[in-house]
Amino acid sequence: MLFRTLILPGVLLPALFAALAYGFSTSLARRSRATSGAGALALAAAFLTTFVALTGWPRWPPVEATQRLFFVVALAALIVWGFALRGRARLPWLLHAGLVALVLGLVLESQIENRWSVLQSIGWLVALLVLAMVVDWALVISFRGDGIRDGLLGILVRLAVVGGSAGVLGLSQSARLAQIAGGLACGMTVVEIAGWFERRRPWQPADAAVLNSALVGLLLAGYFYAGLTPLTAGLVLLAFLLLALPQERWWARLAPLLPLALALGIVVAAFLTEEDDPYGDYSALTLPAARAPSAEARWQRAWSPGSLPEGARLREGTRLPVVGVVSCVREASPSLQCI
Amino acid sequence: MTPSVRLAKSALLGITAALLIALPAAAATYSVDGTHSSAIFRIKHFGSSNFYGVFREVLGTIHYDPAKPDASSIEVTIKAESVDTRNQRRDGHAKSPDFLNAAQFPNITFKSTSVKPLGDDRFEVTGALTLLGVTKTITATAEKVGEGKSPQSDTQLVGFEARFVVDRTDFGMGFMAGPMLGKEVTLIISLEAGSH
Repeated sequence: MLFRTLILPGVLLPALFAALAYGFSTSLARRSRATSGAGALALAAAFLTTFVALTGWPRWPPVEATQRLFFVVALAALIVWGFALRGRARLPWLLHAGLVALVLGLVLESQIENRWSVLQSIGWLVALLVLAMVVDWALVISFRGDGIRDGLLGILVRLAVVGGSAGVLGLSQSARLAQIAGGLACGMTVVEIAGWFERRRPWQPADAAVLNSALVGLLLAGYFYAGLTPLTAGLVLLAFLLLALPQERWWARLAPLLPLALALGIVVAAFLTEEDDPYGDYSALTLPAARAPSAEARWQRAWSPGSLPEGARLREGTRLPVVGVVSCVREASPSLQCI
Repeated sequence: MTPSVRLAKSALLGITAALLIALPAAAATYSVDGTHSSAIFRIKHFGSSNFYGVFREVLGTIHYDPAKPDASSIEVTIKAESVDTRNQRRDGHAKSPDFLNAAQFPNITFKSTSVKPLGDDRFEVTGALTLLGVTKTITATAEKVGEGKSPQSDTQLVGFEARFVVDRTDFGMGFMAGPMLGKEVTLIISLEAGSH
């Protein structure tokens, strides 16, 4: 069951179709001596394959945010590939902005129609446009790499950021969004492996348009329609921004991992400290409901490593002080339930 | 007034009141009373048990004509955000894009297109059910549970109950559809509606 519902649609199929798309585009480029756009096609193939494998073909016209995102990602890939066939490795920034605007408008359509006033819509769209363009710029920088071939560390960090986004989405009440992001990460892994063996950078700056469209769209859907909190969404976006740091120094290469680890840690900690929650078979990981302690008790326990009750240990010898801190903060301020 | 006249008058008043209460309502439009209405769903979990959940907010109108039932109509709106499975995390998952996608599709609606009397206060109701932005025609058998006047106000009450089964994948809700979580969802809608 796990293979059919998770591994096949979320890992194997996107990896396979990404590899096929990459191979097709690369061989075509070799014959025509153009830049390949292979990375963009592979990313789109992975994204679209995962979507279809999980939910079936999207309706036309699309009625839901991720269905619309399906078509935007396909369009972005075709645009990048079209430019690549003409020997252009970059898109004009206006085109980047146009794709971002399309993602925002289509993914947030139900918010604009049902929830926001005109002023709210304008405010949100302008702010998100700026934010998404900054992320796009960071991805362009990361894919450009100033012509330097990425070391293994740089590749792993980039994969960790994309894969980590899927992890954060996974704990945001929508497994579907996480699976699609995971499929995208698998496609990206295929491209990175191909580039590693080919001993060349597999990306071109224009490929960022496809990755940005897909990830921004998924994060927006996670934030507005699932349970992604402002803090975790912000940390994920910060991780993407830090990909633009100059890669000469080792700490710059590792910098994106810090906000990502924080986001994952907060989400996991909040998930594990939810009291009295038998939903899903997590009985081995959560605190027993009958022993749910008060905020003060949890605070004391967090800072007294030896005082955890037996049933509360997540792993033998493991302590998670952040668990107690998060619980106490949440309990202290209802307005901080966003954590 | 002699005692016998008084008695006759009381008897006449009593008989009139009884007749008024017992008489079937005339054609009227009723507003669904969400507090006394229920929308329950049932779905199979891991092929082992039936799981029940509810929607806490039900709205709508019923136009009911007892003399001409086929002229009756019903419009019901269920707020997707009001799903209640008695578990906060599960409620959140149910409202997420994996299932009801309540943020994008806040309402589940049913609008009847025809009502056919089947006798014995039973009706075949056909109409458009819209869920997740997808509209499908469904037919359900509805039963009039009863009618009468509210003892607390001047409201004429009528109650209907219907039970029907939908395939959630027809509406694009395919997450975990199969052995883990059933494709077929049974909906039990019990409505109490009032008219002044």
